Amino acid sequence: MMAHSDPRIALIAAAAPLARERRLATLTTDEICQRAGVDAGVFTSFFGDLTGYLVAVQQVFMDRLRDRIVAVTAGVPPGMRRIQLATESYLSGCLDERPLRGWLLEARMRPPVLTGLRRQNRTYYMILGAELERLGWPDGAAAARLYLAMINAASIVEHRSGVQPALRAALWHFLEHGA
Amino acid sequence: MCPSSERTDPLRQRLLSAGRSLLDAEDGGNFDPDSVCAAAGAPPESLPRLFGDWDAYRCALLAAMIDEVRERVARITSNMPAGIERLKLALETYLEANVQRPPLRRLLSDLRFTRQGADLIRSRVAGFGIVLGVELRALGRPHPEATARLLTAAVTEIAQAEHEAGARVPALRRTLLRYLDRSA
Repeated sequence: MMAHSDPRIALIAAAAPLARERRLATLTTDEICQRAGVDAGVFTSFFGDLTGYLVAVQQVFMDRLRDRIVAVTAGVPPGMRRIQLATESYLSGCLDERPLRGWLLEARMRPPVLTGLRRQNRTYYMILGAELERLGWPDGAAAARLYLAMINAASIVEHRSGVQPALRAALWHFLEHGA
Repeated sequence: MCPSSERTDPLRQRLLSAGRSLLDAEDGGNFDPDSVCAAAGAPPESLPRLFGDWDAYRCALLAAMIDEVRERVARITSNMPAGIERLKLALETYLEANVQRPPLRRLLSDLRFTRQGADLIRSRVAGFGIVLGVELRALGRPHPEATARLLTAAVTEIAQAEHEAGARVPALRRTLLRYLDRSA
């Protein structure tokens, strides 16, 4: 049982430890509530169902990754090195929470989860796009969209097989040859 | 992969052809098990008997459409020497075939959230990546398999964007081709 004054936070915080013990395919909302020490009715009022819960967990997961990237790149001037640091921070952040990341990858089979991810990505197209245009890419937003798809592919491979230096080198190669 | 006897079963082929014709029709509306069987002149129980269920039938149809695209790419690029131009033409042909085939996009969209559909799409995308890796290795590119995996993700993303837009997204295509040119 987990104790947290905010039941929504408690429910979302229950995801990481549960992901280390259970496969998503066999997870029930009752187990989440039990782990969080929260009534089932509260779960429903916040998330509706398991899919709604996973959308929220994904949002928090991505927010944590964003905070990590911001911290790692603080003070680093715009440019290639900053994008590489941000990329490495994202990839290592995914690996650090591999069980939960596994849940979220599997959860992409649920349309609202994938839609939520795509919505978040649109924000990153703009941010990363501006950075890529400073590096000389003619259409930063388009390059950012392709680069994010590549990072996602790399993270899925690394999720299964651990850090892949060749994939990271291929990412840098892309960054270095589009401008 | 289905056994060759299944692939050549005449009723099976008739059902697949009927589904294809219904999807190719202008509105693409009447695409359901009963309509497919009726269009094929087959009894309603033939579809579940030969394919298992509706998802499996649609997966067989999707697999055939993806194979058509792959064969088209192979045909168009077969007389070209290996090189960056062949690679670019292959990628553009693939994207063009996707954008010009609404039935293919519809099936991809409908099936991607089903287990069978996701497995099929994953295996075909992986196959695409392997072919791309061989091409990149022949070109002497660094990290060919890794690059192929990333390029496959980029091409899939473009295809997805064009599906959402219902048209080509030139900025994405230009960006990918520019990278291929600049890194040649």
